[in-house]
Amino acid sequence: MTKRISRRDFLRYTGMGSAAAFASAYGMPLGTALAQAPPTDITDHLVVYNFGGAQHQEVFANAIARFNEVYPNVTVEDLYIPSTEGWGGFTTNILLRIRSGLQTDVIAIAIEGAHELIASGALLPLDDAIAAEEALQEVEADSHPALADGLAGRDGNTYFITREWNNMIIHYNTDMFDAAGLGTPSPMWTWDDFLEAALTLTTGEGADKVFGYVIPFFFFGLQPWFHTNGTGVLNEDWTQSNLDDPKMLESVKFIHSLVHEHGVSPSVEGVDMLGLFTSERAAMTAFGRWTFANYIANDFRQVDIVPWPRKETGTTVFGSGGWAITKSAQNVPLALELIKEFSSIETDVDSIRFGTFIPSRRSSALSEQFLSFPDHAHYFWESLDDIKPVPSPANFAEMAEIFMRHMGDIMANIATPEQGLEAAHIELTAAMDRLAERMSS
Amino acid sequence: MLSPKRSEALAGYLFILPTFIGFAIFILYPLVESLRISFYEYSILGDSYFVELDNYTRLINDSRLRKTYSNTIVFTGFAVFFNAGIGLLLAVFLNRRMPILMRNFYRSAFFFPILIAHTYIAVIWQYLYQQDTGVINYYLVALGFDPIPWLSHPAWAMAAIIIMDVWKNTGFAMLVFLAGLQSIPHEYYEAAQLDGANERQLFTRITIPLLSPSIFFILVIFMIGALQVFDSIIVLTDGGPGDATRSVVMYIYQLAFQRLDFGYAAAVSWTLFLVIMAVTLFQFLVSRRWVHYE
Amino acid sequence: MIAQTKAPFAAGRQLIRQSRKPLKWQDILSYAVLTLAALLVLMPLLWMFSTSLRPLADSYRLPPQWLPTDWRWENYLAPFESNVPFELFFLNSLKISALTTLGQLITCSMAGYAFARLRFPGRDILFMFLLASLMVPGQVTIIPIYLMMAELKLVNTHASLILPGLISIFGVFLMRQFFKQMPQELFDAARVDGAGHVRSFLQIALPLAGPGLATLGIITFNATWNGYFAALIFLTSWEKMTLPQGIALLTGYMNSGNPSVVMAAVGLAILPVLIVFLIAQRWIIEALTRSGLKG
Repeated sequence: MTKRISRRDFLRYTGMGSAAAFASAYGMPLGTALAQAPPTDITDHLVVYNFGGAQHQEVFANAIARFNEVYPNVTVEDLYIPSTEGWGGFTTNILLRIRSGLQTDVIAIAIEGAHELIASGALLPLDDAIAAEEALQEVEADSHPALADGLAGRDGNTYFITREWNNMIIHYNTDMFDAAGLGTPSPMWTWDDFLEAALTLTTGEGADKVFGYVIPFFFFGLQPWFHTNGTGVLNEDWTQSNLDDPKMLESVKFIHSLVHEHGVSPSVEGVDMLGLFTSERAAMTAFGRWTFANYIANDFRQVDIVPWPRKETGTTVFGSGGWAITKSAQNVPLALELIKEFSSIETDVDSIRFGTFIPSRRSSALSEQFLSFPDHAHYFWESLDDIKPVPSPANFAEMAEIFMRHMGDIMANIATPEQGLEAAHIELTAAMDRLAERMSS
Repeated sequence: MLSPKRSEALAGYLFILPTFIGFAIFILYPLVESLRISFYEYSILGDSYFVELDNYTRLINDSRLRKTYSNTIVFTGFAVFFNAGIGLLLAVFLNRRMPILMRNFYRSAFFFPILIAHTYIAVIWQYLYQQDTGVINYYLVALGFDPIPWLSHPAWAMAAIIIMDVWKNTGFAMLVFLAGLQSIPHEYYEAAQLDGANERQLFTRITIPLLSPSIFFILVIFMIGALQVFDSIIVLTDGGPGDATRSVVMYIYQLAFQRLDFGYAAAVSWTLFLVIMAVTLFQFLVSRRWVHYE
Repeated sequence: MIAQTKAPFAAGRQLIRQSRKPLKWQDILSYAVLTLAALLVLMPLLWMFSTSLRPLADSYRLPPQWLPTDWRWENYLAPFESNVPFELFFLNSLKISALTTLGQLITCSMAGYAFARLRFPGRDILFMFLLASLMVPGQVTIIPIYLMMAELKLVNTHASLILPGLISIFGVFLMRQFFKQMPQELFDAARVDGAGHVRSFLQIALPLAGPGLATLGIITFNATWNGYFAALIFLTSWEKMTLPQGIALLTGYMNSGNPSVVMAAVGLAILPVLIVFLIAQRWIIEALTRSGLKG
């Protein structure tokens, strides 16, 4: 990302400009507003707009219990909203809530919805808070610089404290690899190696059909095929369509060939990747860590992970969740204290057992507990050394929908890769122009 | 004392009052509001701008709108025909003399799918529709047919949606028809049988005319429902592949909740509103020729 | 018509009673069609049931495994043992569905009766006006409704779902059709006896409307019970959420939950509606007694 500077750099270079705005907005001297935690006997009520499933709720309920040991008179309402309607719908819900004046202090959202929320102007910049809070700096020190990158505001401000994250990584069935005499794939393997393995693993016909690979046919899941080819759906600063890049065509043709030329992957529409993989009807697929909860629950142990096969690079994709504070929050320092507990080492460790996400701290993601399953679990954290965030402009939902719709045309042979990408490029260019117009006004 | 005519009118207004209060608050007001929004570039948190007819002129060049309309019309034609037709067939068969337990069993079986939300039904059907590992194709191949690309071919994907929709909803048509059939006094049939009418004559001369209010109701309701189809599609194909199975309401939903383009979404909804209104009015006009009350 | 056919009634019924005869080919055909249709309808549900009891992987075995390959009944306990307050969601859904259904039965039968059997100026235009509102997809009106609910401080209350559900244009239409089918003679006779409109409605129309009320009741209860879209927007805290939201929570972030447990939860969620249906279905058929119509 050429123009972007890391959060750390940013804090070093600027800092004071928005700090003054922040302090004056709350009528407090800067120092007291940020450095001092509220008195522990304070009576207050905080509302958190959270996302995730029952497992998230349990982790954060424990965190709230710890928070209440310090602040016994603060009630925390932790609202859990299933994000089944996509991040667009989730964001709309939040905006409606804020517009209606319903108390909303802390918001958790994934990167896909983060920039729409920033663009709406609902969030408070947290740069100064981070600068003043040792605990938050410690979180950052134990984290990986790449993680903060994706959530950094395009205006140069920091609005989010990173929570868990996920990447895309190849999952493979160790038994099937052994049976095919393939052994452990090399972390430096290439697209060609991958295709060769997939061809070897694809066997049978009809009821006995077994696939070498199942294409992860969702926006996040496809990105590594572009990143490893040194390209992406958008340009580096997420302002323009990059679909006219010949490398995009090359990647898309490769994906297309996996189904239509090599037959190593089933057709992508409505395919249940997890079902095919765990029923051993596919030897490879790709997820982040979120399916491990299911592997563990069903005692599916013959699985391991390996980095994405390389073309030009080994760059995969990640998405992270973040904590933000709204501009309508009444007690910002208290909200910060809550976020500190949400990002504490205890919370991070607590989350490991669920196998749904990768902790944002090095110490947790490389802990013995985390590394116990699968064999190469360390690849999760190590992927951060060569990784890019999922492109998440403020019009994420629109952008991803345009791309995936045309990918659908291509995969169903309604359009050729050339035609499909060209049509997508035209539509996406118009969408990105509209976004630029919206952001400037 | 009110005259009988006046007291009847008064009773009529009082009887519809609760419905109209709710209607005004929860339907009419939001509807008018959505009309207002359709003239704006509307933003939930930021400023909204009055853009006159811009949202309506955008309709003209929107090729996706045309595509989603044609999908919706195809879906509506097939879904209404099969839902109503199969529902009627089942109801007529069920209305025959049979042990009450048998009838209850069949009726419950046909109605069962309605009880389950679309989301979960789609999960089941996705297993059935898988191209290479699916249940349906397994049996097709076993019978010597070629496997069908259920979800990855545009026309088959639409067929897959219609089949699932009929599977889920025809039970409702069956139920309404059955209730209608049961309210036809048996004496009519018995009398006609005495007059020597055969089964087909009973069906066309007694069943159909006396059932016509139910048939009319089902046609109108299923037509309106089908023109607004959303759940059956979003959970099975999400409109894909490409836009091959996307309906108008899915497009509206996408415009509003994914693109936050509320103004244009409202304009598109008003076109749909007018189309459905025209179709329904037409049905009501034609109904005078074939629907018999009493 | 009734008057004309009244005479042969008794004779006709007797004739049919006597003619209890062996199955005709039409009977065999109808049993065959019904059985085949029932099989087709029930197979996917059997699949769901089987999936709820076995590991996900077994659902991909070919030839298809229609019966459970494993009997993990504990999957049906799992929703209650999870940290999602499943039983509370159950109660919430029950409350919302029951109140909504009750409300609609009252408002829809009243309005349906008026539109079907009472004459008043503007009746047909008003009815078309109502019907037109069926034609607006809920996805569009939800935003104005949300802002209104927020204004009334009703967001995250059950009232936000119940209040708009107290009326139903669909229900008015359904009840209107049922009332319209009733013989005019009944109402004429009641009028001669000096019954007012309220009494005609309560004592003649409603008892005969059993099938219609039962149908509307099931449809409304079921639609409310399965309603997700509005609940997702209005209800934000766990103590208020409904069953479909609970199942979405069990499904987990990025579908990381156990699909078999989700299927078991769906199975549990079906039970109450199934019970309502089984109770109501007696009404759909049996409430309309022949003697009632002959009146």
